[in-house]
Amino acid sequence: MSSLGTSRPMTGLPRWARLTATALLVVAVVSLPLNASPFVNLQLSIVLATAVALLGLDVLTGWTGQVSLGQSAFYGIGAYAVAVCTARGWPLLVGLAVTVLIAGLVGAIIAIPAVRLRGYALSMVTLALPVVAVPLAKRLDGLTGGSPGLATRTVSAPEWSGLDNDQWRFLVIALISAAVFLLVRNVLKGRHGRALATIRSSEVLATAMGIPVQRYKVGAFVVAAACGGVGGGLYVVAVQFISPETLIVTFSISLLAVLVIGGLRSTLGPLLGAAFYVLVPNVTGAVDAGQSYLLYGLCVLLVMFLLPGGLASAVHRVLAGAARVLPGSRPAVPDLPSQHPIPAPPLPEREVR
Amino acid sequence: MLLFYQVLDGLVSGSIYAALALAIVLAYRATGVINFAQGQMAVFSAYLAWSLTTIGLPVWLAIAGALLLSVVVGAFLERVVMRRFESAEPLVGIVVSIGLFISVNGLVSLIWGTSLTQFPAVFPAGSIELGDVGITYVALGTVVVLLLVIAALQLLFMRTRLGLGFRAVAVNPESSSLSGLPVGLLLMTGWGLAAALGALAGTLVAPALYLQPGMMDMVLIYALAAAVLGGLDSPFGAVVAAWLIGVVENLAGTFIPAIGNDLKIAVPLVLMCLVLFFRPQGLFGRVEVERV
Amino acid sequence: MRHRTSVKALVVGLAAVTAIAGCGREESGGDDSSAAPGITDTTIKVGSSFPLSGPLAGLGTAARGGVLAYLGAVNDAGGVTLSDGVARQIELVDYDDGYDPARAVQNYQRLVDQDEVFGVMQTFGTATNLAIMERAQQLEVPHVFTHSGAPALSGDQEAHPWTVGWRPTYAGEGAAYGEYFAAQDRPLRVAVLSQNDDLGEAYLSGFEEAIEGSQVEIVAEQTYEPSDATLDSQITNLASSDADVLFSAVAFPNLQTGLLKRAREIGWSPTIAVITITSSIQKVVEPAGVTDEDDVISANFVKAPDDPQWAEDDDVAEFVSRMEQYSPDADPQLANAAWGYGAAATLVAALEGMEDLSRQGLMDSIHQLEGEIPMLLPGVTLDGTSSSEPPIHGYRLQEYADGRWNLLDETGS
Repeated sequence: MSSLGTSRPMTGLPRWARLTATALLVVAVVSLPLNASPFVNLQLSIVLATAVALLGLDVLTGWTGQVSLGQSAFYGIGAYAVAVCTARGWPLLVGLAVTVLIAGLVGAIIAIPAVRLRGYALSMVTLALPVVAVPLAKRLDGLTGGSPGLATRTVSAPEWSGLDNDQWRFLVIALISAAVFLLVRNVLKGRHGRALATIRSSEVLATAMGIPVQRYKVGAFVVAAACGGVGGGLYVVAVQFISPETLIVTFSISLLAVLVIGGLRSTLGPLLGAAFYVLVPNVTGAVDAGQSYLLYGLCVLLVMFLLPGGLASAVHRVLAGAARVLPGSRPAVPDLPSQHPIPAPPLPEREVR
Repeated sequence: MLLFYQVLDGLVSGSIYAALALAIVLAYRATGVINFAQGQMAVFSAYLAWSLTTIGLPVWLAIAGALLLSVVVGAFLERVVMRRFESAEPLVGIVVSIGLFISVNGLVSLIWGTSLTQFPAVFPAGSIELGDVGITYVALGTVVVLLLVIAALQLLFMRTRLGLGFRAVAVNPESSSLSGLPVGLLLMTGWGLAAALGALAGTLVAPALYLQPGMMDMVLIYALAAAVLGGLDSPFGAVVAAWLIGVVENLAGTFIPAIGNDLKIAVPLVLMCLVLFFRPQGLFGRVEVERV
Repeated sequence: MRHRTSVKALVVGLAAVTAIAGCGREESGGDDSSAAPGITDTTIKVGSSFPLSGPLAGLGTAARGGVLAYLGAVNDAGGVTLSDGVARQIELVDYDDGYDPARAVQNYQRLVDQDEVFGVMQTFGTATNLAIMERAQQLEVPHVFTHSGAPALSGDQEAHPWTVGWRPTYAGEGAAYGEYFAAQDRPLRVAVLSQNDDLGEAYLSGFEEAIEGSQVEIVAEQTYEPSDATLDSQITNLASSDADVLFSAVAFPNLQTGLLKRAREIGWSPTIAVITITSSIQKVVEPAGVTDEDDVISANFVKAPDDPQWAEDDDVAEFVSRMEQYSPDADPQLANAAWGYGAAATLVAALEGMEDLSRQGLMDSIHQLEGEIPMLLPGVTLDGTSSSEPPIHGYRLQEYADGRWNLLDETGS
């Protein structure tokens, strides 16, 4: 089962290096917003929000093998839920709790029939979600503000912190994202992750092994929906605006693309994918505003050509190299994801009857 | 009257969806990947046709030229881009096609600019009067062209060695390769033909939509729905599904006030979901059998 | 040995991070000797954000082209002379937002922090500008002359002192048609086709308000989505109402053309009001085959460069040649180009009128603007004194005949 690519980026490193790296990471995240400009904080906040949505998609698509084109609908549910709740003066955590409830519920309602489908059929059913969500968001204008969207002041820095709003928002988003990442990672670490991996490689095998396939698939769908919702909620915290434009199908398609670009089934993958989604257009826009789209598309192709395992596979390769050099390392893990970029589940053979 | 026009309008839109859906089905049968860039490649072809008209070619000749060039472009993209990801997870193929989608869109903007460009009329204006209703030449022509395409594809698949090869490769690439079929060449031809069909869809819709880099985005959604509803590997199914989608959408938008024009797109999609729940392989698709 | 290395690494790493953490950030904008952020002794830096990719790329490119054409000409003529007597070059920094509000907000924040612009102008679109508006009030950086006629952007300038629109509102245009039909003082049955969003709603609400109490009555309503490939279905439905007037608030030239053709094909010939965005002679009216026998009206506030009646006009000739020189990739026939051009002219006027070279000074200057800027139709003027209307308000109604839009007497308000 190890070849299924559960990757914890630092597994190969010695204990002290892991501890140091973790400590550095925490200090860096906390100190970063204090030095960065509001623009950088805004970008990083959107990166984290997107990463949470991608994390959910990874559980469904990367781990369970169910390709979903509907993630932007859940993102929208979360964004609107948090916008509406905070506009009424409710605390952010209440808004996020409402988000998880609604997005999870909608996810479950759709998942229960949808998980019977296989392959592209499921993708197309999920494609319907954003296509319906956009006109719905426009119609429910009493709640959503209709097509012009909803602007809201979400969270502001409390007096005692001495921080600016953008710094405080980044820290809040970082904290919630970290909690979601840890939670999902721990769920996937043990038998649940192995069960999903088995389902991905062969549902028949999974059933034979006594794994409740349908229940797991519904579960993965609900986790994806809830994470999508939380991601959308965090997006509103950062951007303080949501309109139906954000829910469109092309955003769902982009999310799927950057998930693969970041790397499937890796903690780093959603983070790198989200960074790609948010930062690369900003860079290409600075290179040539008129041709930013072309440059962005070429970047997508370039990554796929050079790193079909995603950006995370490159990081894993570097870390694997470091693990060999650093003192106190255990012998290198025999099959790092870099050597097996994406273990392809056997394509179901098609047979004419 | 109203009913007649709405059904006719639905069939015409459906025929456009059908042409692109056919392209998606052909590319899928060749490489097992749903090509999200199919619509954008069609836009590229439509611009090519327009460029040919600007150097003085009559519009029909320009379209024929663009179809031929599209075959080359499609085959080239299969060989140079998609071939590399043949053995990877299907998801990787999808993402590569999304990368192509974005890049081709950018390329079109770079070459031809982003402003609306008029495309010359393919069919004459005016209409045939049948009693108290009129059928425009555009409507008639679009449907007839599509019927001709279906007939040609049927001949190709059923009556030629090339078609036999296609079917063999679609069912089982490895044994086709072992039995000496030029699999690589067949895959390229499959993508080339798909690109030509997409080009047809693009040039048929261009006079009404005008040329713009994003003109096929919405058509792509409908075409994807049609392809999957029809069964993804069934060209016939894709066409029937596309017509069904076009007509049902118009009727629902017109005669069910609660749905209206904003939610009418939901009707065919919900219909598609319902069909898929009962027939996961689509209306005319084959059942996939999984072996352990 | 091994131990010491690890401890060393840990100490060095932590020290480095703490050092970074300790320095704190400088306040953006800086308090240099210069008068205001974005203004040096030789330049003024202004920012913007347009959709240069995606479905609206053509319109965004045209708007940007209009801005660049006017600013380019001003710069080549020596720049803008401010109240301190120094002439400065105006530098435009702009980014693509793909019509995504999140990217528009990032672009705005980036222009403020990283590019340190003096202000932001002509940001494109309604959702994008509404997303920026709240942030502009917090950062207190001018967000002016937006490329959107949404009433919300200019409606309450006391609550949003840092944001102001430019072109007259969509609601005002809808009202202009409503008043025109109401003034005819006879029973008229109207069919309305509008975009299913705030743009369509603004047109419709303006129209409805203006016809209240008159003999004009709306008998059929249809909406469309910007993504619709054709409006055949809608027009068939509207035609079945057999209304006397079609108010066609369709915002896309290709859809408007298709609609006008389709109406003729099915033998429906009401009086048609087409909105200014889709009133281009070259892109809509002529391709649709409109003749003098058809009864088509439209309202506008700028001179359309493709209208033969303005072919000899100085403003238009200058506009066309500047577009060719400075923005060859933009389409000057799109109304968006003329708006960008006019907005840039308004910005230059506002900069010249600044008494105090500060961001507040710019906002004060805008509210004292009065007079003429190029490309406006006769009778339409610049007036920034209102706190509930954009600086350009007022429309002229026109009727199509002899291959041109002929101005009608009534002035819309």
